[in-house]
Amino acid sequence: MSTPSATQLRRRRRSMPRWLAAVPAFLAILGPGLVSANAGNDAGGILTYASAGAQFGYSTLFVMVLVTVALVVVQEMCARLGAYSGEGLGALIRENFPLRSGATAMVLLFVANAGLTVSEFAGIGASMGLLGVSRYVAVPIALVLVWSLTVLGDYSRAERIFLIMGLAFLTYPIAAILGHPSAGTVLSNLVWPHFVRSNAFLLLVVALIGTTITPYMQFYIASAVADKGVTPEDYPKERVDTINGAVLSDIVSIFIIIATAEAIGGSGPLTSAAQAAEALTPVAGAAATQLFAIGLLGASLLAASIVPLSTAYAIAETAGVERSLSRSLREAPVFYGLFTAQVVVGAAIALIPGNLVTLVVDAQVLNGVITPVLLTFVLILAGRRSVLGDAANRGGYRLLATLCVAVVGLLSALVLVETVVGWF
Amino acid sequence: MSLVRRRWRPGRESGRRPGNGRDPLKTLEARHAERVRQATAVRALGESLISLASVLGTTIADPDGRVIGRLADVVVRWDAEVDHPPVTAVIVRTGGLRVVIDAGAVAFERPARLTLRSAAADVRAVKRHPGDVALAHDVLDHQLVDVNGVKLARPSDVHLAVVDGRIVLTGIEIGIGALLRRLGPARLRRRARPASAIDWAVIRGFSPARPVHGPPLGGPAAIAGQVGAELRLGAIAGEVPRLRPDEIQAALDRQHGGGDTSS
Repeated sequence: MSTPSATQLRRRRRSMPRWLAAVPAFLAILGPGLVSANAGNDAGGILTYASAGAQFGYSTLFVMVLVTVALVVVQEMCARLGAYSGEGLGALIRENFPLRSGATAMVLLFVANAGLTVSEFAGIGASMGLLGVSRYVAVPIALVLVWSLTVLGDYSRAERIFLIMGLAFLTYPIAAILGHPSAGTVLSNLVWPHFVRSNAFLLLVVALIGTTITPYMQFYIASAVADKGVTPEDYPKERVDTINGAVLSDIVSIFIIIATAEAIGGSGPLTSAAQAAEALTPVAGAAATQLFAIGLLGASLLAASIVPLSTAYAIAETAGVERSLSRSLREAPVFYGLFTAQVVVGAAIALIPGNLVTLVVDAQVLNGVITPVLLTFVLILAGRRSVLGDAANRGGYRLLATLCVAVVGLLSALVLVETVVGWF
Repeated sequence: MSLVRRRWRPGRESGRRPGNGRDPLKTLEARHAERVRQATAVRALGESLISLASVLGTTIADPDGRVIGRLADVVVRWDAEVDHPPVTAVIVRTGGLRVVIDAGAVAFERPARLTLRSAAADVRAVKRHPGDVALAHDVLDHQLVDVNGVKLARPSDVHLAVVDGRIVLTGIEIGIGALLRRLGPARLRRRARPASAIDWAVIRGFSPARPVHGPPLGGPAAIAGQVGAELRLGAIAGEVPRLRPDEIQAALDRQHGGGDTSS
């Protein structure tokens, strides 16, 4: 079969509806922005969103709109730093801040991400359990899949795989629609703040922010943009991808809240994302549960790749050794060694029954310490003309970024305090 | 067999060991003699060695002992023909300002003490001149790459040495030891050893991380201090010769004996 000529392609495009002709251009710009934001909807994220819907119905929807603004601002600053400096946050922090504060942030990131990786593999086990497959079979297969898809091949291949994994999120809008939500109620809750006077509501709002804006997303997007070779000239396209990714991933989060709010709203907090999926069966049918489980599987697989990758990027950048998905195992042994160690240990711990999993998963509360520190670093770097030149934050945007960082940083620290107090 | 082949790690070279391998006794004797020679060179060089990490942030006092500020950076003038660039100035943070003082007006005393030689030292505003390299700002913690641009490490310390009353840049130190020294208590920071340094003479210059089209850069320090400027070695990672303290000492002696007039 002969390949169509450029003229034939143009003619074919002309005969298509305009929105359909724009699809290839839209797909071409999808990249680090969408991947990192999607990875934010990981197993822990889905649990928090499902809990929000189950406990307070639609009342938390307006929070998600505000969180989306903060997510867009934070992710955009990180992508810009990656594109203009050609370095990830690990490298920029080592070069621009005191060694002790940078090293402390890296150690905490390593521990927190180790906890998150375990929770992602636990999420894979739980979702496959809902689909009738034992976790003792599912987790080892997932480990091999995650390792080989990430390590073998180059950056663009890995990115395509991450984007395909993100397609699993399309199951949530369908699961939400199966519950027949009222469009009017959803819209009014999105636009108009609905406060519930209780400590539980406040803590959940704080948890929603903490789970949507997590350090590994910021480390990943800056490093991936640099690894992809995005230059300042390419940045306008990358910015579209970043904003688009943050908005799309939060739309998915909103659909998770809607799905659980309509089906099991007011039933109380949940303890696992799998429990949310099971709770959907009597109301929305078995199909909704299965869709929820498939979404959880895709989310966990994606995050099980991205979370350890962000650690590997950050630590290898800090040490100054080779770090790129386009390098071979031999060329970047520290980078791939860190990734391999995290996924292997994460999967192994997720298979051990008992309290160890809970203990390790609890380590992710350290994100509450890292987020304020990291966001402050990002804000300072993005405002420095010595780093970004004319692309540094200015005027109103600088003010908005400072406000977002201050609010998110403070609330993330609150999550930490709340969780630690809850242990005693 | 391991999955990943052992690779060269700068600063951790094992090198060719002395001895012919046929007569065990002679091999042992040769190795012992080599160890003694290196240890002597380490001691000799160590006496005059200054670790940048240990002196940054230390107070500078005038001849009467009054503190005038803290050391923020050390500046060397790096021209292509000089293997070990001389320190030309220090940058001092004083009362929220950063000022430059000529290196000749400052006395470095071991382990980490700086004093002004005269109360009338010339103090200027900070301004970068061609060939200037601010060691803390441009070298410490920045990316080190080999001649092909392969990322190797980040210098965790910079070594300076006092040679006949003048201070010159001798090398950079990489590795976890130097990092831990800086993360630990101040007392630890002074234990820099010349044996673990990479000789500055094998560094070709600063180069941009992304290829730039245009005229060649003027001199090794042309883009020092710019975002993304990497320190580039003059060889591929596997071919950088092992750097011994006695060789660094000999190079310094040669440079000094050769009548370096670049300052």
